[in-house]
Amino acid sequence: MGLRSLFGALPPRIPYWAEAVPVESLPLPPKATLLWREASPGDVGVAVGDSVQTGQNLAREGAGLFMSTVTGTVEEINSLRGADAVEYAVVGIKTLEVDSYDSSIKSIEDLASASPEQILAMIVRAGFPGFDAVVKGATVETLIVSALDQEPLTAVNPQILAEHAGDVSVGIAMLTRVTGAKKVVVAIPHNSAHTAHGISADQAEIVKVRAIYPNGLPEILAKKQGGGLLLKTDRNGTVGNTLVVSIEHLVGMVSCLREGRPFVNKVVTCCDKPGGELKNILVRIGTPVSMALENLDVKLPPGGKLVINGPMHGYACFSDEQPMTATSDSILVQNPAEVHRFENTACINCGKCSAVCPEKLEVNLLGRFSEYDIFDKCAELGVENCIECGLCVYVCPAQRPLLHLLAHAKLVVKEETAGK
Amino acid sequence: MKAADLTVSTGSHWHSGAKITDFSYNTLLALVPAIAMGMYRYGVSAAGVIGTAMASAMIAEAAMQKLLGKPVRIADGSAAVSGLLLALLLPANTPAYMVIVASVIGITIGKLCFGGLGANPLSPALVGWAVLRITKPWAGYLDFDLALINYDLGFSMQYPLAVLKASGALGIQDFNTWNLFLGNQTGGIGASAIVCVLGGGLYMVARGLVRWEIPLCFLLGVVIASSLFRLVDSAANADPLFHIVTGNVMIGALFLSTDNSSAPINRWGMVAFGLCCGMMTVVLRAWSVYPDGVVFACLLMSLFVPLLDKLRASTIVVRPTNVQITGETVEGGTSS
Amino acid sequence: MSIFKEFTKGLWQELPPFRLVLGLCPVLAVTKSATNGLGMGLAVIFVLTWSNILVSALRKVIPRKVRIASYIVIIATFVVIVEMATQAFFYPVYEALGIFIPLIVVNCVILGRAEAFASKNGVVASALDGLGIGAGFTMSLVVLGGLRELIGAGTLFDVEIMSAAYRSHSFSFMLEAPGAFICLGVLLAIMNAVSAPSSS
Ligand code: SF4
Ligand code: SF4
Repeated sequence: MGLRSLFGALPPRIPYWAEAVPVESLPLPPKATLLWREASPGDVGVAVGDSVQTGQNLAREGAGLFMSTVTGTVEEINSLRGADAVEYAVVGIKTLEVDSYDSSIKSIEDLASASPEQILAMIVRAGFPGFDAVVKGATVETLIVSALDQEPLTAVNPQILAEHAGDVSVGIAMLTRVTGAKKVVVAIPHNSAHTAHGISADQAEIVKVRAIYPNGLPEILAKKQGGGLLLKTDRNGTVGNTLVVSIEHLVGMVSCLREGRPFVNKVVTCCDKPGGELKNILVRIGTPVSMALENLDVKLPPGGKLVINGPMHGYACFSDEQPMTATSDSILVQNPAEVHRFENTACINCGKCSAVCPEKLEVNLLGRFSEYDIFDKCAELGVENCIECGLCVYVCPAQRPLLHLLAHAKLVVKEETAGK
Repeated sequence: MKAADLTVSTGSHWHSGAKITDFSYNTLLALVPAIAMGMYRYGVSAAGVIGTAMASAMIAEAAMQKLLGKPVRIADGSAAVSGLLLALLLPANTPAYMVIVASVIGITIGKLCFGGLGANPLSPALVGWAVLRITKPWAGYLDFDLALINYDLGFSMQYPLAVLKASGALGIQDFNTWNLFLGNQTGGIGASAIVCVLGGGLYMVARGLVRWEIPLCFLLGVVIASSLFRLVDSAANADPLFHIVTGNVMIGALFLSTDNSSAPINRWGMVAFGLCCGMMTVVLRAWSVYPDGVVFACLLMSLFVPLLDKLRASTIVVRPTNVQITGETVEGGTSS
Repeated sequence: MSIFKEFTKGLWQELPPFRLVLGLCPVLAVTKSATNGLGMGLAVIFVLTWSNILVSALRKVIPRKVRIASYIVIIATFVVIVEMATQAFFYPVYEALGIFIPLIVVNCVILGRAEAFASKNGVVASALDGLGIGAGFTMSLVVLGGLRELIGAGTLFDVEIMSAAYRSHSFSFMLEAPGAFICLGVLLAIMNAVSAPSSS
């Protein structure tokens, strides 16, 4: 997959999905699994056997927010170390057919007159991720509403613009007020048939972005459209001043806040063979991949790969019990023949990786330094700037596992800086 | 929970399909016209030189890889390319022992001692050629006027650059630039087939296997330096066009200086590398004892590659990692 | 036994150019022929042994702070003797070695032995050390020079070994500076390969 341009003279172009894909709803899963990043079972405030409501905060008093997306009985509380080397708290819930909603999520009838603080609190409470820094008081200079998908083989965002144009406009006005952003940008794919009707020019600037990977990644959008890098927080603080919100989340916010409902349903695109059709499903957050696959009648081929969140920077799961989260956009099933195998060959110094890297890193050197554990050099060359887009891996003729090497170096460098 | 039998790895889960062999096999393909021209001109002896060089380079590579306990990877074609490039620089009747010595030393000392493909600081073909060049008793075989004395190909059998060295701009008036461009000149088996080399090089550039910066800047460097020389003394120095269509400049710009591991990979590094190679070529042609300076210019500049690769258009914005949230101050990087 | 070891260690374990990788300047420069190598080696043996003896004898007298200067004075004395002697009795060798005889003064093998060995050990041990290291140095120079001469010119100690046809088209690359480096590097690699099992 992925087109190569004429004669290969230009960098590879990996186009985003352009056509609309109808969405099919999936029934509730018998058991939902909820993941809580950077938390341990001790942070969970419910016990096995407790019954929980949809939207209920499962976190222990003072530990933050960990929202249940289903109604049912807690079956399991566990922990897990993810592929991103971060601890997760895991809660398994046996679901009931009918949802009963937690009463602390209240509807806000008039979004235009409610106070920004009230709206922000409710957005976070309804389970929309990515607002931690704003809550802590970071300044947002630029707000980007992205109608692009992050990855190829994903068809979640572009249609929403057409279907919910009115809500988009309301949502932008709301978020502008909440974040206090001075510049608001709506990024839409250049080949999108749907223009952003109903969004006035003084409300937001509409930018057509070439629909090729990695232009839809928040990091790249923030870099190109905003005045700085992505707004995100880690333990150390805030970085950048641009907030990127996907249009799916934006529309979700508007309807959730109006109805006083938590954000529990997510559109996920599935693809099971190269060149095959995409299927969109609406799933309850917490649904395991296996259920989605069963529903679509897809068998996992032994030795194949199950990739969540796209073929370029997505992650391969080691189990089909992997649950969907609020940021899961796509499921990709590869059969063993399609699985790309890395090679243990030395870098031939062709420079393709550095040419294609959106962060302009010297990937050829970084890969070698990381391979031989010379991490101070990696830090010098700015390995922390790698956004893990995977393009360098895609082009490398030596088929080196560059992202593996770089992610490892990033982790080590981060730990070393934190230790200092 | 049934244990699914799944493959896991880091991204990306797609690959463009590029292979190490893309570069070497396409180089071989791109040089076919030049080889054909050489064989048409010089007959079997040219084929012999090419065959000897390629075979000995590949055998040397395989033997050395065995000796060093590395996996034998001659199928990647890089040794064949080195051997071929070496052969194309030599006169058609170079004795076989010279060819073998050059390609074996080029491959073993010039490449595998440094760690093999991708780690060699100098192009193996150039190392081999340089070894021959500085071996004085063998100089006669590399002097095209002496070496090719028994050939009559229907055009002036004088090596243009030797004429330039001997009698300045006046002596080269007889050479027609267009004729030289068509390859009607003596010289290396393939290097003298200027138009074929150019065609092959353009193919490589179009395939994206050779990036355009180095060849273009190489030629630009030749033009700049030769114009300067001509400005100072137009009687002793040739015009830029003559420099471009003679000797090894064309093959140097498109194939020798663009060897992956001995050239920079960042744009401004490549520009500087190309310009310096080109200018150094003309300087060596004018002032050194050898008529042509392409190979030594490339070798010399290859040594500066780690330095040149530090020339980068964009500086890395290291994200501040220890900014405290104070409600107001949020550190932002600048987009480049 | 242990005294004898001071001599033999210079022949293999601490072979100067290969094991200690010291004194490379004359090693590379004068080994265009075996004869030159031998001449240089003998000069070094003489200077090294005598300077070792003298440094060792004076090791209690020389103040630490000016020791390097004092060693240089001692070494320079013997170098001048060697230079005058070669000039007087072996003029062709003197011609061939040229500047490299006076440069023995700064040859790090000699200063290195004075500093590392002679200044800490007795006179007899130092003399044997000087002889041993010098012999090893000479041996290396002769081997290197012989190899380069044989391949580069087809002769050995100026005796014509190879056929006339080879000599007129010899691989004179070996006589050039890059040839010296490559030859040294290859010998070094072979030595390391040969002795790898014993050292590991
Ligand atoms: S994964 Fe990192 S290093 Fe590789 S291209 Fe993307 S940003 Fe650059
Ligand atoms: S693309 Fe692969 S082979 Fe080429 S320079 Fe980068 S790491 Fe090396």
